[in-house]
Amino acid sequence: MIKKLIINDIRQNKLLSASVTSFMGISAMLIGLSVLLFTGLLGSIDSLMERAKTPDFLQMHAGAVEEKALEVFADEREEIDQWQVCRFLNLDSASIMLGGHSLSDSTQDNGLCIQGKGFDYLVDLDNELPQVREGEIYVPACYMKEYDVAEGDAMTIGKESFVIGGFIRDSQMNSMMASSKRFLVSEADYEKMRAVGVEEYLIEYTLLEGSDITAFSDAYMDAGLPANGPTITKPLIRMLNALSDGLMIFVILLAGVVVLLISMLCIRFILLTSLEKEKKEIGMLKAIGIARQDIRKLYFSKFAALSAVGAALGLLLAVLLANPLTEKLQRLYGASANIGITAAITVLGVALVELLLLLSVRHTLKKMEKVTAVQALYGKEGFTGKGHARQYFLIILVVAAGMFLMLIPQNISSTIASEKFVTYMGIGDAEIRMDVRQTKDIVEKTGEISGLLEQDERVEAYTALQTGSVLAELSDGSTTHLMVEKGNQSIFPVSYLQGREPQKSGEIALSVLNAEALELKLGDELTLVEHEAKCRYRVCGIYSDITNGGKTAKSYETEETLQKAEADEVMWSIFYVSLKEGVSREAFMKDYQGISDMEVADIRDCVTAIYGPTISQLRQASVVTAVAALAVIFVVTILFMRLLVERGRAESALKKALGFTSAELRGDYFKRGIVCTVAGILIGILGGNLLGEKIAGAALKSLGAAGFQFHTDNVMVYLVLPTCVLILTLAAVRLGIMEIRKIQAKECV
Amino acid sequence: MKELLRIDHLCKDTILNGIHFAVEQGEMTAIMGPSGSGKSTLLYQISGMDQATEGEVWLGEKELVHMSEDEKARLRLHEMGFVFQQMNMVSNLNLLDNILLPAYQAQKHVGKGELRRTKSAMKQEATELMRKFDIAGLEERRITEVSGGQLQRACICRSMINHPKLLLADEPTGALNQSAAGSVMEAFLKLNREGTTVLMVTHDSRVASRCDRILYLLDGEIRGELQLGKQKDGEEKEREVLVNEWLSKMGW
Repeated sequence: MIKKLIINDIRQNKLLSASVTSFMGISAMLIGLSVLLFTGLLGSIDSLMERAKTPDFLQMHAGAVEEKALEVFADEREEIDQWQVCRFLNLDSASIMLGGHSLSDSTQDNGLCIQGKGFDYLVDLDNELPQVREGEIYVPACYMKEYDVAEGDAMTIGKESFVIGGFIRDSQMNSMMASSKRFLVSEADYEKMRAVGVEEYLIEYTLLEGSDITAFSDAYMDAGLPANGPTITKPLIRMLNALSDGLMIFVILLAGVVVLLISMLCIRFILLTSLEKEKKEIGMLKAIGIARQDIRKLYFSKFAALSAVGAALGLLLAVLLANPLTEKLQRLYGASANIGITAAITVLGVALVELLLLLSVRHTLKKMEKVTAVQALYGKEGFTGKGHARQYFLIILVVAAGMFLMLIPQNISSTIASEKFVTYMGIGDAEIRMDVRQTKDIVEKTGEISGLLEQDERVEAYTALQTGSVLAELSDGSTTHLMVEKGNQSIFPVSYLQGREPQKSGEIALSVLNAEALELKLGDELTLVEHEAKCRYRVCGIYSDITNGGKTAKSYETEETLQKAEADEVMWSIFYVSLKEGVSREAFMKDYQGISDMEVADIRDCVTAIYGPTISQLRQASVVTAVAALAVIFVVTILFMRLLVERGRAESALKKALGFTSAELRGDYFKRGIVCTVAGILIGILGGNLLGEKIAGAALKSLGAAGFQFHTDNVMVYLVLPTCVLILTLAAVRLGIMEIRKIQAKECV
Repeated sequence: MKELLRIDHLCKDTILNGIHFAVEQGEMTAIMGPSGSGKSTLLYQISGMDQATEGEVWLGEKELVHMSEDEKARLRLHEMGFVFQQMNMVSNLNLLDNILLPAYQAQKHVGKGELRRTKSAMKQEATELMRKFDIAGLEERRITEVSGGQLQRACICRSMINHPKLLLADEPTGALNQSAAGSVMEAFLKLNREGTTVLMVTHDSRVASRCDRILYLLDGEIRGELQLGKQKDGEEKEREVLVNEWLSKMGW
């Protein structure tokens, strides 16, 4: 009989049944999808890093390497498991032709390497170590789609021509956020090409389990080993790998959670509406002796069945959607080794969603039990209590939640797309960046370029910054090495989380990771050992940085002092340049690109190259969430308004008997609808901008970029989206209150 | 005759003030009184659909005022039938399924070793009840597709499907026209002749005059009682006059 009742009920209330199923379906799909993608991504990254034997500590170095010193160091340190020096032949990107496309516009450092001896392997698309024959080259997997090349295509470097033997996954440099890309060639070819590029070294270590990477890094610096280049650790590599796709998953998860909350709310209201409508029947069932548990079971079974169908559909959709979304992930990282675990966690996630929903249904049904048969049959009170205010409040809540849901991805993508965003990443807000590295006389070169820029009339402003490793003494007497960037930090400042940039000597700014590691805060002092003399510095600012492993510092220095620096004190110099209005950036860059030992990059191009895929993923996610949010607001508002009309039926009938017209009654409801919608929109905007900033900030902080502030697209946030929500909600209110026409005056008798 | 129902000093808020009476097995009793006198409230307390504030209700050996909600529901299911003025039925089941609903539910409580009714036996019984009350052939109809009289007779079938000891009816003819009311009343008389004890609240003196006994309720107290005995053929008019005279004496 229960089965018959449920089936008949579903047939009669198709709209409500479909709503329950689709609410559940959307929630299950979003949560399932985010769990699936997230576990899949982490699983894939870990599988790849394990297969490739990614080093725990990696020092990039331009210049000569003394193997003897490295050997001594390796013998001394017990935590070292294996170590090796890999060579990386940095090529001029403009000389590379990949499948007919030139890499001249590539913002990456492209270069050749050979397979690692004991670890740091480059693996093919089957996660196997490729056997590279002479004349063959293996191309980074991320270039496969970007330059539309396939196995067997040609690639030329200068005058040399290679055949693409396959594609490789590089556990270190897969992500577009990593700044170098390695091409794999045979040893013979590498030797042949040595003259074409500049050789750099990757000094790599794997450590025994449980070793302290920071302590090891300090020991490496203290030993005075080659360190002309960034230091990279395994956690940073994992972070870079997870960052670009992690943001999209974060947005989907956030949407999933908000939609689940809305769904629970809506299903609860659908349940209350049907209880309200079937109040008399429930009373009758009680009267003829059907026990409370049995009546509850009747409703519970119906909602369990509908939501289970929704959950199954959601899961199916999640799996279908995951395929196109993970296509790129699969190419870059390969399949996760633990597909079983991924599947199990995903099913578990969806089951949890179902459980939460059924608990809320059970809780709602308890209300029904408190009402006696007579109250249900003849009482005027509903199961939901007396106040209508709560329901209006819920409309406000749903509109606000929908608005919030639309604003988060919108705000994140507009922030990342904004020009200021680089300043959260530790990069100055300039137009052009020039890097001077890999030369013995950096100081001289820096001076030379400063001179050129000084005289160049096209330049609006520029600054030269020199980075070197400096020994720092902490208050407890211990010492550590700090990468300090010296120069005028006020011309193109980065974003400061606390305090400001160093403006005079004696002031130093620290990156968040350094401030945390050294346990220093604003106003604290530390001592740097410079030219064998101790200088005291006061911490004047803290900023976020993802360059150079996130552990950097900045101090003030005049250009004259910079030019007096000793060559071995400087690891590299950077110029930030902005141009006068109307000056062609391309022409300017072309003039400087010819200078040897220097790289010139358009910062906006770099950002587009690094964050472009993330921004476009976020744009897709924001369209999906906006459509989902609008659909939810529309359906929920109709449902809630119908419920309100149903509950006020007797009162409306009475008013009609007293001479009110339908239009007048509708007007009352409509006005209240407008007030709720506007309130909801305002709360949503406030939440989306303030709370959303905190949530997105926390997510980005865990990925390394602290002090994140939204840069909102004002037209979109304050005009377009609110107008869409307002129009849609008012349309929904109108549809929801149409029922008023059908209420007859005689019903009040 | 054996006593089936006993009401002792039953109170409900200010509506019922110490009601005291008994109903014997096989008796057909009408409760009359002006609007607001507490007739329906009395019936709800007797059926356990509402919670009395004081007093006792005995159905055979069982006292139900102090029972839990679930125990009262069980008692209503197995030992009582209830017919409402507004013919309450489950809207998305057809007439036959509505009648069968309490029967199926009762099967859930059949203990080990007790006799279990098969589905087909229950269906046959429901069809027979429908034929008995002249609604055969309407089994598959939805509740909106039959007349008020037919629907009320279906409600009587539903109330009888578990062979209750006591049939309670709250203004069962109140929402019907005269001819429909006549057919419904015939159904009650038929059941009573077959041995079912009936306690009915009514406004209609013609309906009351066909019962064995009438209790007059005013301001929550029983103010009078008229013994009529079983009705014999050709007595209708005479009994109606008698009841009307008594009612006017009671201030009706």
